Amino acid sequence: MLEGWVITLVSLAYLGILFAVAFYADKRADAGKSIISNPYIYTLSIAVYCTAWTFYGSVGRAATTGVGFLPIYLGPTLIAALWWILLRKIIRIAKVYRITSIADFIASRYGKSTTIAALVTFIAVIGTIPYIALQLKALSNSFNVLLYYPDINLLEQSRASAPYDTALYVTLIMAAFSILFGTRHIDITERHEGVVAAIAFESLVKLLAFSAVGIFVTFFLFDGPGDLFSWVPVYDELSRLMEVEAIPGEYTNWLSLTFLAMMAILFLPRQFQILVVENTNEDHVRKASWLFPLYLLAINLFVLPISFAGLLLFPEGGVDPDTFVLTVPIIESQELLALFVFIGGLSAVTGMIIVATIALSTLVCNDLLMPALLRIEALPQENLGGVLLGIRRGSIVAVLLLGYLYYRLIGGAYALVSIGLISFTAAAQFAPPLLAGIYWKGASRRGAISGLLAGFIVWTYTLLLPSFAKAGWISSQFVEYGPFGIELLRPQQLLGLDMFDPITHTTFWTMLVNIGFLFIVSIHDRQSPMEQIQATLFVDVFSPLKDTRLWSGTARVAELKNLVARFIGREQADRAFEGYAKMRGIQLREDMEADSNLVGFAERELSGAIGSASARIMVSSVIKGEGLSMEGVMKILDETSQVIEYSHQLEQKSQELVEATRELQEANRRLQELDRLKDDFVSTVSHELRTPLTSVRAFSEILHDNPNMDDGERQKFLAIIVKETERLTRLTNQVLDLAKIESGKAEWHIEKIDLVALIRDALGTTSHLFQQKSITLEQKIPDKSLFAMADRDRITQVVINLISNAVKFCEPEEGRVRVSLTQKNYELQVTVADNGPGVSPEEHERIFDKFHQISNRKEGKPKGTGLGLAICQRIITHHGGKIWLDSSAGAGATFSFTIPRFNEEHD
Amino acid sequence: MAELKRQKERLIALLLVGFLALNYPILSLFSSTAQLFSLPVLYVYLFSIWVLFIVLLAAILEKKERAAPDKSTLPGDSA
Repeated sequence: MLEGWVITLVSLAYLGILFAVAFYADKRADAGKSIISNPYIYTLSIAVYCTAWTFYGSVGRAATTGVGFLPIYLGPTLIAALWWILLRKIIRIAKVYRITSIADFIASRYGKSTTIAALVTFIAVIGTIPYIALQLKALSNSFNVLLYYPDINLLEQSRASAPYDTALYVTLIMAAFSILFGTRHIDITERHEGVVAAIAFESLVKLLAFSAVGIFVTFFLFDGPGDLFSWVPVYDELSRLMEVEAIPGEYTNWLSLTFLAMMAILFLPRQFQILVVENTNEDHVRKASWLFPLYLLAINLFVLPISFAGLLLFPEGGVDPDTFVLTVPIIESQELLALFVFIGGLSAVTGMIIVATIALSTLVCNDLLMPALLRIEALPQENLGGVLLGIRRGSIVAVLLLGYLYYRLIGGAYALVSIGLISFTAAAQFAPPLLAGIYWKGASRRGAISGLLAGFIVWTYTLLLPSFAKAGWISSQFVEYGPFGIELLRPQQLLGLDMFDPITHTTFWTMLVNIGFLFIVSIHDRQSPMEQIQATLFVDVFSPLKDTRLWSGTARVAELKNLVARFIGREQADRAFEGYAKMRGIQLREDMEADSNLVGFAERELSGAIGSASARIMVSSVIKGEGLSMEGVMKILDETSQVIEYSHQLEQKSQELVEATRELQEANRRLQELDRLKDDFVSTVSHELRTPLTSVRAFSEILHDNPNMDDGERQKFLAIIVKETERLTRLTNQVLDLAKIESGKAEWHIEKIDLVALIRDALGTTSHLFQQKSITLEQKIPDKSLFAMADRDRITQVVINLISNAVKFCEPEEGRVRVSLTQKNYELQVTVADNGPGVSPEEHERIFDKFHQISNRKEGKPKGTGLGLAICQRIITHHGGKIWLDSSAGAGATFSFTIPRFNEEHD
Repeated sequence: MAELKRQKERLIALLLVGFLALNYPILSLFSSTAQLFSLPVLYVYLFSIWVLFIVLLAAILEKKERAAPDKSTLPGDSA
């Protein structure tokens, strides 16, 4: 028997150690050297799942149902196989969108609905209260047992005189402890490194304490497990426990408990807090997935031995099996071991209560009270951080007191595990909206609300109210015969379903209505744009889609900063905004307009402190303009896509414009060129006409003024006049000819002509020129005929022009002209070469221009009109051939032209 | 990517097998008062399955880490 003050002192010392651990972890976190950021601490902190239920309750349950305690640990083990897929996705979503609680998560998924946030919070609080009652009961029981045992009379006496006093003290101490622990300041991430470290420490203590009893019982009290279990067949009631049939509800109960535990490990508010919110690194999930089941295995290994030992040691009953863990060491006078066990139990209780109350106070504050206070605008303008802390502390006390009340109400009537299962069934209600929410975009807000509401109502009706009835708080008539004697509505045989135990019964009906309503309402529902956006963000969190929270309207940087500072404090806000500016590499001035990225950033920062739904309301209060209406969002989305479309078109248009401008410039340049050419042409023609006209006029005047001129002289002058007029005629003809060709008005008589004959004729026509200047003519003309489709007169004109040009530029006596005709694949080539002065390369192109005449020649006067080659070029081009010059100065000139050959097969 | 998908499939398969092994009717085969190594057969069965499940789970999850640096083991892996 231990003195009360010893137990109290040791307990307080232990709580002091917890504070030291938390303090150390917080200091390390502030220094940037987190001690909790590793998979092992993460795993141990998840073991907050193992509460007084595990520590005391499992043994109690094993004493009546054999292996019936195990599904609660096999379920989490099984679902841990999916953590790497499922939990990682939840963590990613929570991290990206700064989600700080399970209510926040579900509300955020369904369009940041404050209704859902409040509903989830309500269910979470009501659902957790029995669980907290369980812890209070276990702790006060263990204290009393330790204090009075083995004097059962004293124990009974204390129960009778002040049955709930210990529990009340325990409640108050736990409230003070949780407040000191969990709500020292408002953290923008809602992460509590110190708490996590302390929880991990507690998990270690409770595992060690429980294993210590187990080892003591198995190896010291008995001679190993073989010895212990050899007693089982001796007693009928013990061997009966080794069959599944010992569990009320047998395999269906086994199945439903497994299912409930699978859901509870993820969706109990405190598990969500530890698994998701306090997670520092997604990758820790990998190791935790198999280490946590290992922890569960370890802490369950000795449950059956302790339980059987208890049953063997107290064969006549009279000792609550829920206290075997303590009473077995006490009856064997192992006081130190008993004290250690008590500390282990204290660990299990405090761990659960700290995390659960922190999680619940966050829920109540962020998701229930804040939105309401914001709506009625009942908040002070400054120092909201204090208000937040006040609300949280208040809710911690309220939740614990409710737990105490529930314990007083039904505590005596239920075993630990049965109380805990009421909570598990409530937590399972979060599974359908959350799981559907992250894998099915179609799940809608109204679907989630109706599913949750239906599930919660059925839970209350089939499990919570009967627990009141069993405690005698309301009439048990209601459970046995149904309300108003309506048998079909009996809460634990709803609609006459009487084949299940109460937990399976409730699990079946709540899941049926919850999932049913969620799906049926969702598929008949139309989601709001906000819901659609959030659904996509959640389901596709692993695909690279950017945050599309859009704000229209504007706010100044200073206003946003003030808003954030009101909730998280000036210093933290300054630091957050500085960090943001540094990250994006921009300068933030107080009077600047905040862009939508900064507004989104501020909203996320606030989400950390007050939840996403409240943050949205707060941010919209400082945004000028309409803040954010959904129509606005859709319009912006529409406009954005339109703008993208427009800019695309614009780009195309400007491309076309550049092209058109270039063409226009080109055309303009050509026009200017043509204009210049026309001017040149006119002046050249005038000049060319004036020269012969001047000489005709001069000689005519001489003839006119001198009638007595002798005949020889007169004849000479007249010849000059005739020659000059001939030149005039020729010039005029050529100008007309060129104009006709260029304007396309020339008449072409295309026919089949023999080019060989044509060249021979041309040479015949020009033979006198060769004779005059004694120039040698070389011919390389094939004997057989070569045909082409062409205008005979025009081609003759070209050939004669080229030959006479060649002759013209050759020196008399030594000049040589070579005319050749060659046959190519599809064309005939005529070449006229001379050994005259040649043409310099820079003139090759211009030589075919109108009025271009070779200038650097010995005689000062041009020998032709300058139109001959221009006309030749146009004639040849018209026939589809080409004409060119190969020459260099001093090496003679070679003019060649081609025209298409006549195709025989065509004819 | 294919390796990740394979890992997911293995995890889901493990969950299903574990769920079947730990429920009716397979569980009922071991629900008896008989003893194995002087231990109750149901107790032995449940904890053996539990250990096996954890070992397989660890093997699946930790495999990628070991296989990732050494690419040459991957082809044989899928066989």
